[in-house]
Order: sequence, then C-alpha cells, then structure tokens
Amino acid sequence: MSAIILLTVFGIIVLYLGFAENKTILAPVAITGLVISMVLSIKDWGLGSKYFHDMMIIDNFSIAFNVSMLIITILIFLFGINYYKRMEHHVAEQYALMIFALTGAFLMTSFSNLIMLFLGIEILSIPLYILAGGKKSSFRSNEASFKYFLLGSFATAFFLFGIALVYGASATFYLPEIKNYIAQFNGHLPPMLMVGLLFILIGVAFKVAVAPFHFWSPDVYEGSPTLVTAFMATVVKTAGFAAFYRLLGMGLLPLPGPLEKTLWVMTMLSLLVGNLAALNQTNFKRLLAYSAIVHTGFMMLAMLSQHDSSASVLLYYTFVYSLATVPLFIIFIHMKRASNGLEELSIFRGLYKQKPWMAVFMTILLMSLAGLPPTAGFLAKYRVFILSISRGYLAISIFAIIMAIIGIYYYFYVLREAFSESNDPNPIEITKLNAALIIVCGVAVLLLGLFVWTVPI
Amino acid sequence: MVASIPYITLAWLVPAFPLLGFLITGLGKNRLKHNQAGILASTMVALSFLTSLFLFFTLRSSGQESATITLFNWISAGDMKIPFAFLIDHLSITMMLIVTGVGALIHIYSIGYMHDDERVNSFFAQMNLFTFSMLLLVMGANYLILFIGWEGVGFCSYLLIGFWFKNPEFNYAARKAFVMNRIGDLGFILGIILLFFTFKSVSFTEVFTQAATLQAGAPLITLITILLLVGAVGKSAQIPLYTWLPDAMAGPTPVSALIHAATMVTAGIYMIARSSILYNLAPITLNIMIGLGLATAIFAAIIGLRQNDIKKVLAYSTVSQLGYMFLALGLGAYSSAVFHLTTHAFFKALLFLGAGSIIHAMGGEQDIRKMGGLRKKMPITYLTFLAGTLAISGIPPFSGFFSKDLILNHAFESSPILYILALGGALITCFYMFRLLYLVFFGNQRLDTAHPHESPRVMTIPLIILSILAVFGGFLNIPSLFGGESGFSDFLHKAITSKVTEEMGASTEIGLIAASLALLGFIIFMAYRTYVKKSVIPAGDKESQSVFAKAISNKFYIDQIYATLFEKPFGFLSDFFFKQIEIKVLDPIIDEIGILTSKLGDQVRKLQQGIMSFYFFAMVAGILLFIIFILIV
Repeated sequence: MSAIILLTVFGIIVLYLGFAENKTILAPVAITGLVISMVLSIKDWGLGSKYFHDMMIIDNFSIAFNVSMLIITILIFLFGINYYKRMEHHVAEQYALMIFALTGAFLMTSFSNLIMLFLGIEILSIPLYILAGGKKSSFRSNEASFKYFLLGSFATAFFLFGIALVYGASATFYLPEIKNYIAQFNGHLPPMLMVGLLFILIGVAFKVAVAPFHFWSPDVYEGSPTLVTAFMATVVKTAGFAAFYRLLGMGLLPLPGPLEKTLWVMTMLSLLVGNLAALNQTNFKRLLAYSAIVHTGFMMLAMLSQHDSSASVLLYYTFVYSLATVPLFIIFIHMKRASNGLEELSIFRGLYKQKPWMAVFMTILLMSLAGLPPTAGFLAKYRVFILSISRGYLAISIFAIIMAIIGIYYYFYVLREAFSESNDPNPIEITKLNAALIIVCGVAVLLLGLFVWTVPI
Repeated sequence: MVASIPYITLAWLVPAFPLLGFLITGLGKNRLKHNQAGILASTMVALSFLTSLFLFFTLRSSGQESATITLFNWISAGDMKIPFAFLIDHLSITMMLIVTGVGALIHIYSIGYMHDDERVNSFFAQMNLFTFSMLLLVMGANYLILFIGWEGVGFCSYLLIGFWFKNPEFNYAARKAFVMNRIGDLGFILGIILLFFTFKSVSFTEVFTQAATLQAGAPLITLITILLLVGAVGKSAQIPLYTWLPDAMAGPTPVSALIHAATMVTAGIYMIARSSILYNLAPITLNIMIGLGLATAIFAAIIGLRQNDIKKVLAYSTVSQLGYMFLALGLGAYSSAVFHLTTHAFFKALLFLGAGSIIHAMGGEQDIRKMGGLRKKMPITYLTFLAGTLAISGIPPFSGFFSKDLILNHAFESSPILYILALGGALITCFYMFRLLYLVFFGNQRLDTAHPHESPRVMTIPLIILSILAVFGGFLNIPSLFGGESGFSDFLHKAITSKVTEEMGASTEIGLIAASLALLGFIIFMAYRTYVKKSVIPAGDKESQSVFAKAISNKFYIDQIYATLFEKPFGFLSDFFFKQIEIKVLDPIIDEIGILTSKLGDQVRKLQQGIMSFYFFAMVAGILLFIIFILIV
C-alpha cells in the first residue's frame, strides 16, 4: 500500500517540479520515486495484506506484476531523458501522468472488488487520453487522443453497465461472492447475469485490445507520441492482463461454457486478425500495434489454460514482450529522427551499414518478439504452448503455433530492411545512455532466454 | 563426481587438450605459422597421452576396476537423465592410450609430411578435432556420448578425406564415406533408442546391470545387438558397407594412418567389445558377426592381391584385418579382438606412415609398378616397413603373430573349417604384403623422373617408434604356451566379459603354429620368386587378363553393383520428386498459400481506415454477436 501512496506523492511532486525551469531534474526525481516504490513493493513480498474491507489484496501476484511494470516504466523514463529534451513545455506533466497511470495499474493488479477494478481502469485510462494527445500541435496526435477517448468511454460504459447487471443479479461487487453466486446455477445462468459478465469481459478486453475490440489500437498507437505508444504497448497491456487474470484466472474461471467459448473466439480472432493485418503493413508503429494484438492472443492462451503456473507464464510473457518492445520503439524514434519524421519500414534501410551493433541488437529484439531461440521470447512462447497443450487445448495450440510462424515473416521483413543497402543514408545520432540501454535490453533478452526459465509468483 | 581414486577426475583433461588445440589452431589458422600449428597440435595430443598414461598407472595402482567421472548433468527431461560422464576402466584406458599415443606420433609425422601444404593449419585443427571426438567416443560413460564422438569422428573423417577439396574425385570419396557411414549410423541410432526404450537408460553400467538379468537369446536383445552391429559394420567397413574405406585413401596419408587404420575404423570393434554383455546374450548376432567378419577378411584380402596403388593395398588390408577382429568378436573372444586392434593400430599406422614416406619420396606417385629399388635409397623407411610387413603377416615374434594366432586359435576351438578359412585369409595377406614390399623396395627403380630420398627426421622418428611397437607390441600378451601370462587379456577381462576362456592343449597349439609358419614361409618364398627373381611387374589395367583376375582387379565390380542397385534408382526417384512433385505440385501450392495470406491481409487492413463510425459499428456488431451467442447456446 505504501508503494501506491508514495507513487501518488511522487506524481504530484513531479507535477509541481514543472514550475521549476530546470527540466533535467524531472527524470531523476521520477525514477527515484519509482525505485523507492519498487523497494517498498518488494518489502511486502509474502505478506498478502488486505485493505479497505478486502477490496484490495496486495499479494505476491500483484507485487510481481507491479515490480515488472515499475522496471519497464523506469526504462521508459530513462529513454525519456533524451526523448523529452526537445520538448519546450509540459514535460513534467508527461512524467506525472505516466506515474498516475501506473497508480491505476497498481489498483488493477490488486483488486478483489469490481468497483476497485473500475477505478483502476479509469485512473489508468484518463492520463492516457491526455498523453496520447501529448503533441499538441500534431493533428494526428490530437486525433489519436480523441479516438482513444471516444472508444474508451464507449467501452467503459459497457463495462460499468456490466457491473450494474451483475450487481443487480447477485447484489455484490466482491469477486469471491460473485463466483459463489454463479456456482449455484450449475452452468445455467440467468440472462441478466450472463450479459453482465459478458460486458465486464468486453470492457477489459477493450483495454488489452483483443479482437474484435482492437480497432482503436493501431490508430492510437500510430498517432500518439512514440514514447507514450511504448508505454501503452507494454505497461498498459501488462496491467490489463494482470486485471484480466485477477478477474478470471484467480476469480471467475471456470466460467459457463458459452462465456468461455466467447473468450476462445476472441483469442483466435486476435491471433488471426493481428497477423493478417501486420503482413503487408508498411508503417512501423502500426506494425507493432498489430503485433501487440497477436501477442495479446498468446497471453489470452496462457490465461485461459488454467493452471497453477498460468500466472507465472503470463508474467514471464508480458515482461519479456515489454523488454523487447520498448527498445524497438526507441530504435524507431532514432530512425524516424534520422529520416525527418518518416514512419515507413524503409527508414530502417542501411542501418547495418551505419550502426552494425544497433542492427544486431535489433535482430535479437525482433527475434524475441518472433519467438525464436535462444531469446527469451522463444521460451515465453514455448512455456505458453506447453501449458496450453498440457491442459488439453491441442487444436488451439496448433493454430497459435502456426500464427507464431506467420509472425516471423513480418518481423524479418523489418530485419531485411535493416540489413539492406540504402541509397542516401541519413546519419543516425544516438546518445550514449540510449545506446547502453538498448544493449542492456538486448543482453537481458538473451540472458533471460538462456538462464531464467521461470519467474516466482 | 566419484573421486575414490586420487586424481582420476583429471580425466577430463584428456579430451580437453585436443579441444583446446582445435580451438587455437582453428581460430588462429590465419595467424599461426605453419610449424607453430603443427607443433601446438602435436603437443596437445602428446599432453593427452601423458595424462592417459598417468591415469593408467593411477587406475592400476588403485586396484579398482573402473571410475565414473560426471562432469555435469546434460539432459534431464522426464524419465531421461543423461549425465555428461566419462567411464575410465581398463578398456577405455587402453583405447585412450592407443588414440593419443599413435595419434601423437602421427601428428608429429604430419609436421613433416604436410609441410608444404597451404592449408596445413586447417589440417591440424581438423586432426585435433578428430582426436577430441575419438576420445569422447572411447571415454563416454553412456551410449549417447559414445554417439556424439561417433558422429564427430565421422564428420572429421569427411572433412579430412576431402581435405584436398579442389579435386572433385576426392570430394566424391568424402561424400561416399559420409553417406555409407550414415547408413550404419541409422542402425546405431535405432539401436540406442531401442536400448533406452528397453532399459530406460543409456548408461553402460545401468544397461549392463539390467541386461545381466535377461535371458540369452531374447528377441529384443537380438534386435538391439543387430542394430548396433549395423552401426559397427558401417564405421568399421565390413561387408556390405566397406566400399567407402578404399576410396577414403583420397585423404592425406597421415589421415589414412590415423583415422582409416589405427583409430576411427576400430570404433565399431570398441563399441561391440564394450557391449560384450549384451552380445553374449545374442548368439544369433554373434554368428552373423562370424560370417561377416570371415567373409570380409577373405574377400578384402583377395581384392588386395591385385591392387597397384600402395594405399589401396593397405586399405584393403585394413578392411581384411578388421574382418579378423569381427571374427574374434563373433567368437566371443572380445579381448582378443581388442588385442588385435591394438597391434593392428601399431603396424598399420606404421605401414601407412611408411607408405606416406615413400609417396613423399616419389613426388606423389602411388603406383607400386612405378616404384622399385627403394631399399637402398630409403633404408630407414625400408627397415620399418619390413617390420610392419612381418608383423601384419603374422611372423613370430612380431606383434601380429601373437594377436592373429590368438584369433586363429579361437577359430579352431569353434570349428576347424573356420580355422582353415581364417588361415587362408592370413596367407593371402602375407602374399600381397610381400608383393607390395618386393615391388616397392627390391629390383630396379622403374620411374626415372623421381629422385627418391630418405624422409626428414620428423617423419622417420615416428616410424622408428612405431616399428618398435609393431615388433614388440605382441609381448603385451604372451600366451602361456610361451611362458607368458596373457597380461593384456587379463587386464581387459575386468572390463569385458568374454565368452571363451578355455585354454587349448599345448600340443595342438604347437601343431597349428608350426603348420601356419610353414605355409607362411612358402608364401613368402613364392612372392620372392615371382616379384624379385622373375621381376614380374603386374599388368596394366588395359592388358588382357583372365576373367577371374579381371574381376579381382575391378574389386568384383561391387561399386558398380551398388551404383545400379541403389544409386540409380534413388537418383531416378529424387529426380522424379524434384522435377515432377516439387516444381509442379508443391511449389505452386506453397506460393499460393503465401499469396492468399497476403491478399487476406490486405482485406483485413481495409477494415481499418480510421473511420470512427465504422469502429463503433464493428464493436457493437461484435458485442451483439457475442450476446446472441451466449444467450442462444
């Protein structure tokens, strides 16, 4: 709990530091806050403390996810030092809003009451609507922000409606009580409860961009400032899945047949639609948006294959995915700057000639996303498949494996560009810090793949 | 780690030295000078030899029979737990001493022999890699590590046969060796899988402990042993998979000496001797081995009679001698087979290195019809080659006499017919070896362009050392008839369970030896009369010969038969599959799948055009469909 409170306090401090002229202290202060919060989180390991009449449970599951999100946010802030250097105004707000969003994410990992989940999602979402429009002068950034807000509120409405319906049927917001209530029907739920649960699931599915509720993500990912996109693709997705898992894996599963089938349909649609749309994609940010939808499908697979190890597999997958995604966005930022604002895949052309080490680390990161050994991405996918096959979902696992193979095509399409010759290469400038961070991420992805096969929860 | 014997854990050093040598010479092949690579590689193998020697004395003084050194847990999946472990016992230490000892001598010899070659550094890197693999093969404590070494030596053999890869024929020979070995390896892999399936382990100790409880002649054991035998037949060049070995002479001569005479080709013998407990339970397999071994021994010896390439003669003689070892294995006299393996390693390495020295002196000429009269020009080579020839012919007291005599005795115990056939093969061996010796060293020099000279000391000293071993190596295992103690066999009996142990009556044995000696003497005299007195030079390939002689000269057309029976049908099939199936059926299908997926992708992308009203429409449609679904189903 102290971790959440401290995070909020630091968010406010960073916000007010914006009055100071000195932009350079923002990132260090923000990162200090995150580190302290991380230490406080880890101190609670194993305690399983409950707050607010059991509306929040901070157990090992939430701590593990919180720490993983803190690590990724610290990474994003470190990259932010360079990224926000060019920004004249409102830099403090950027850091502060991300910290606030993270607070919402913490609520999402530790709720046991639907109202708490709703609060978490909204505290996470509202800063994101603003962050998406962070480039005030950019038309596309504004468009992204507005689209995200409209579609987001639409989904929130459904989510809230779902909570209302479930409350109307069961007269409770508490997950365990709802589960008991469902259990007494023996699989034949009254329609109100059924629809209510469906709306809740759809609300969360929208947040993690599961097909067919994914339409917002490519547009928003493309229009938002790239660092915000990286935040959305990693931390927000992790938070969404932590919430999803608390709701289902630790809460409502096994659901009645039709509802579970609905979730399986969503899983397969995500894998299929994401892959197909990514195949001929020429914009790098949209490509990663679609690839994120595919990864959502794999995470769904891990979550729906209920087993004691599901949470661990899910955490490993989200963390490894985030660890590869963030530096890829950063490499993209540098390429975009070098090519005067283009976002096409062709801007990577000639990267190997100019910065061989960068191309090599990009290869490692993309290999991890594609799930090729010896990277951690391979191990993450491997564990998901082992889990789902051992739970008997053979057909879906085979389908997912085929989808993983298709994915290699578009990841390697990017690589082909990076390793081919460019006619008029633009000089790529990169700070030592960013270079070091990219290398650290690449090495971490390799080492995790080779030596860390499992994470404790 | 079991460390009951002090310092025995140092065993890992034995393969580590050549591996280190391989890494240094391999990675630094562009920076090292020619002599440096050779000296380094030789030093590494010599260090391995010294370590093996140390282990030998440690093991002997400890009084224990074996030690297992586990380096790390290699595979651990479900029931399968396979440690990366070495087994040091009397059998493996014998093999280690042969591999590193003979190997070191051949490495040193190669410094001189390969001196003028451009890629000498790569040569030494590959030789060291071979030594490393061979050591894994003989030291591994389970079938899987044996198999790694098995494949490793096969791969190095491929590289080294095709070492002069600019000659397409040599490449073909390398490929042939590789493919033929693969056929054997398939059987070997299946055998290991079946072993694991049966015993739930591939470790030697566990398999043999469990096998001891099984009944002899069980079909499963017979199948396993036959599958393993297929592997051994491929690697040790027995009928029907022997044809690669004569062609393998395309490699540099030290390679032929090390890989295709002294060590790699004996891997099959080692593996069967190692599995003696299994083979004792499979009398059918033992009988097959007797048949195969004897047939190979005689068949290859007959072909050897009319070969005119000095290395080909030696190659066929190797095939033939390996046949004797298989015969011994089939008779259940495993330690005799290993003893013959040992003496053979000495005298055959010696003969090959001698041949190398001759080829070196003749400026690359390998045809014995063009040699002659080298006795005076190359006295050291002559004397050492003579020692080798006497040894392989089985003249007492040279080493080959003791080992071959042991096998012949066992054959006699089994049946006199076996003995007569085996003795016949030995007599043929004696004839073609002396034919070779006389043609090369006696008479007059027949090639005017060559200026033979004695080889440098770096080559002759290994020859001298090997000739000492070839002469006196037999004394390791003097039978009781000559007042010896059969020390070598006793030493091995702790690691090998031989089937036959009984001693023969001394009078029978003396009779047999006397008879064979008389015949040998006669044969040598015949050869002398033909090739020295009458100075008969074997006919050229194109001159008319009798049908039988022609058949022998053409190696009984086995290569051609294999080509018609296997190569052509397979070639036709693969041609058909490539031109008809792949190009016309599979390729278009695969392409079409790709194109279709890509088109589908374009369609999906069209859904996403940034129009908000459509997004809302799609979301609501999705929600409605799901609602209908959950309420109806």
